[in-house]
Amino acid sequence: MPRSPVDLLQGSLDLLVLKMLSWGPMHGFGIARWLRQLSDDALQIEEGSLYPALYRMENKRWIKSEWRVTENNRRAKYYRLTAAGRKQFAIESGSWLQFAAAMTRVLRATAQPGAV
Amino acid sequence: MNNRDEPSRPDRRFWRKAPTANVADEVAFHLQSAIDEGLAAGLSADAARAAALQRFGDVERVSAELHHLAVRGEQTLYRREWLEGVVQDARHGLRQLRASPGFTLIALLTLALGIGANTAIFSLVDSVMLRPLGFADPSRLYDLRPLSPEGDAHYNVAFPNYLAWSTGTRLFAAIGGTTNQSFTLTGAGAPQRLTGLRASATYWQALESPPVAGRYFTQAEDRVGGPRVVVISHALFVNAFGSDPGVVGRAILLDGLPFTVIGIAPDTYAPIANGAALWVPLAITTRESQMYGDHEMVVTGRLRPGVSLDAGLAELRGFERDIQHIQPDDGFTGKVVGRPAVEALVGHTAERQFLVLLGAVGLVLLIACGNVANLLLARAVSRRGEIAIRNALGANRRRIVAQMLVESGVLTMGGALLGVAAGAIILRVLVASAPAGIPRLADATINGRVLLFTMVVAIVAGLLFGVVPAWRASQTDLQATLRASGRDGRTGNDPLRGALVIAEIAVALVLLTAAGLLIRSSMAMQREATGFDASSLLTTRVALPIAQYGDLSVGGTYARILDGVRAIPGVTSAAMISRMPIGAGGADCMVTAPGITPAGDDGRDAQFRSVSPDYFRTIGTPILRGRAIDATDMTSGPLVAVINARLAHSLFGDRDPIGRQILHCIGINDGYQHTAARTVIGVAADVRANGLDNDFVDQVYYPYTQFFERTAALLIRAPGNPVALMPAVRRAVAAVDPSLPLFRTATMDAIVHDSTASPRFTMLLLILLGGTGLLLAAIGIYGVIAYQVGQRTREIGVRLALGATPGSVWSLVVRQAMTVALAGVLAGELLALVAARALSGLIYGVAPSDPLTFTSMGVILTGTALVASLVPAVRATRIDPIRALRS
Repeated sequence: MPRSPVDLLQGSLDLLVLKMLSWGPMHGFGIARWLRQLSDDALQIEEGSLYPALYRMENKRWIKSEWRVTENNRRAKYYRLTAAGRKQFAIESGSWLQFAAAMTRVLRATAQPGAV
Repeated sequence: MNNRDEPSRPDRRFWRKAPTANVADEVAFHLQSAIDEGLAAGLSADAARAAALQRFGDVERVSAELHHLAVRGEQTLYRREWLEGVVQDARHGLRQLRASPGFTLIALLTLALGIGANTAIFSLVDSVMLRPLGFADPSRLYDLRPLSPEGDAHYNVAFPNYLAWSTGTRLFAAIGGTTNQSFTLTGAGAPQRLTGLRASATYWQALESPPVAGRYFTQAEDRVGGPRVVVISHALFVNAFGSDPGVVGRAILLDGLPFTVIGIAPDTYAPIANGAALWVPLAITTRESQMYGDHEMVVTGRLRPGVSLDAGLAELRGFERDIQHIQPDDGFTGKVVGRPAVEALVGHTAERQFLVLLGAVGLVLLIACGNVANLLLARAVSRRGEIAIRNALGANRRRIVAQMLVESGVLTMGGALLGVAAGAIILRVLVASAPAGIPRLADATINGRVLLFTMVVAIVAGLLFGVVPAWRASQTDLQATLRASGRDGRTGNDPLRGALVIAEIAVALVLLTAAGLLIRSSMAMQREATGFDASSLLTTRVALPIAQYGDLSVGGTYARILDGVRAIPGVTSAAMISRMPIGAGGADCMVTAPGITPAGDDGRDAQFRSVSPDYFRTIGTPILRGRAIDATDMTSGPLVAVINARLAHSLFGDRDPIGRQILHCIGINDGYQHTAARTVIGVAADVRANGLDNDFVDQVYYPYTQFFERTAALLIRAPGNPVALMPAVRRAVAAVDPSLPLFRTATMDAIVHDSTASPRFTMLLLILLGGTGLLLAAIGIYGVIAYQVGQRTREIGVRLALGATPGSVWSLVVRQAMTVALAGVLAGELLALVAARALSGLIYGVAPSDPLTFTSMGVILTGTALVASLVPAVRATRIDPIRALRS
């Protein structure tokens, strides 16, 4: 379902999280770290704000959580995409890319359109 | 669903930590990992901690929010789990039902039959008794009648009383009244005889429903000498005038006189107007307004909003007391009865018939529920293993009960759906075969109210047959069952199932007894002599319009018609009578014997009919004493009368009535307060004037020249097929006057038969329901006995191995069946004794406790139980001891 641009901006954190989880199960800290690395620290996200997004998506059954042991032998809560989440991710990333492409096209435009 | 890799359902909650702890752990892990990262990058412990906290944001706020979200998620999870549980139970139930198609089919058909029968009968009850009349605010409409000295309200209202009520009332918005008047319509196709009503202008105000076209008549038109206007029914508008709207404003010929059609009344009026085709203004004459003893009017009142019925009736009682001052009357009770108009429409007998039928279908459903419960119980036993295992695996008792209930719920829903379909079919058959004359019966449909009823019935049924087996299943003793592991040491005697079958038999016996009583009643009616010979007798009616036929021409016209009819080859005799000899009801008035009836005694109310010469020979009613009315009485000789045996006895006792005088009214036209002396010339045998299911009444016959009635029944006796003579009869009547319609043509046999149509309909339905109950009870007995034999296979095997003869095994099984059957029959006889009281008023000539009926129905049921147990009994004798012991 295509969403309005404002929703897209608000939902962009969800989208980013879904993207991170599309590679496989990960805990909240891992997601935050990946986001930092991938965006070269450009996306200034308060890491605490990731968790409400994760919880909300879990309540929506887009993701599921499970306590596991990390490679450092710590217990951590891992999130992974459900089938519904995968579908949601496909839809949202599609809309976002379309939106971004359209924004880019307009902002890069050089010629003024003809008179109406 | 995506719950593959979750822990199995019952344990999930157990393993899960409390949400709060989870949140704290998760946040702690994040912060710890961030600090570790800082330390690895070479920060001091404090700096690493500060950096981690700074990057995270407000820990308190985030934790609180997470906690909130976690709890919310938990709640939706519970809900989902619960729902999933129901879905799972339902699926399991469906699987179980699919796994045993035989059981499912029998249970569904049984329920569909039970629920369908209830749906169909309730549709009738709904249409006839519950559906409000189509008038504005019908709950304020009341049928108003004086209370008779006998304590019921069968009297109509006399004209002066109606006038006092309708003009005096302040608490009723309007009180309207009608009285019957038939008309011959000419000039619109063949001449037609139409039933019509003289209606007051207030009738249209009380029964308020807008006309299809035109208008209703006004107070100004409702007066003697007013304009000749008529309101026609929508049915007449369609049938006689081809739905031509131009008929409004046109004059039509009624009894040869022009009446202007001013409006078309909608079909809403049809039930309460008893199918009247037209309405003319009531226009009460001065003479009618003095006729206190003549109860002719059907009166309906519309209470003003907020006025109670009691208050309204109290007002009418006041008017009644005023009338009593002017015209003292021995029959005066001063009371007025107001029944809701819908209720008055149905009539007590029909109402009772419907309630009896509704009760009977309820009983059939009870038996059906008993059977399904029995089947479920039997299944529950064979599923003890499954349930015990589920129990052992952690399913709690509530869950198992829920699962069983879902299973019976699925059965209920299936049964209800099939039941509605079955009900629609049954309803169609019922409507098609129902006797005519029950208002609004033909409109019965399965509407929302009926569906709601069906739903409630189905749910109650589901609970009835589902709860006990479910509870029973939950009581399964886990250890004992698992230890026995299929090898069942119990005797198979299940007291609960036995009790269910006993109850089923008892209820079936109640149904059968009711059916039996109605059969006996019907037989009693058939046996009753009608008092005449109904075979080879053709009847039709003729009406002479008042415009063309003055009083003095009536007798001569009838004589010419009779001459014409008698001349038809094949006719052995023909006669006329002012009212049909049976079932036509009829006006009556007081008759006394001067000098014999003691002073102060009012004498007897006697029905009167005027007849042609040859009447008694044609109808076949014997003259017991004296002579019949003959041609010599037709000339203007002395006033004479033939009375019936009952009246002769009650007026004259053992004296010979011939030649004695009676005082009786001399004609409708003169009002009943005018009496004349007549000489009794003969005594006729009694006839069932009020129908086969009613006692004889007092009767007086006059020569038709001494008592004019413009409508008369023509009776034609012709051996063979009298109906074939009808065209010749029409020609003979047309030769006298081609504008005379002949109406209500029928053989007398058919009329006699139809007079008992309604009780016969009830009887047929009860026979059907009783038969269904019997069949279901037989299935129940068979099921229980067959099951017991199955459970006792080993025991019987041992008995046979030890030398028991097949005969002794056979009698063992049959004895068991008979014990159950006799217990049921005994209980049923007692129940039937109580239930039969509901039939009083519906049965004739047989006591509600008729020993023959009770005995024979008990024998039929016992016999059926015996037959039902034969198959399992024979199967028991064929048990192979060796195989039985090895199994």
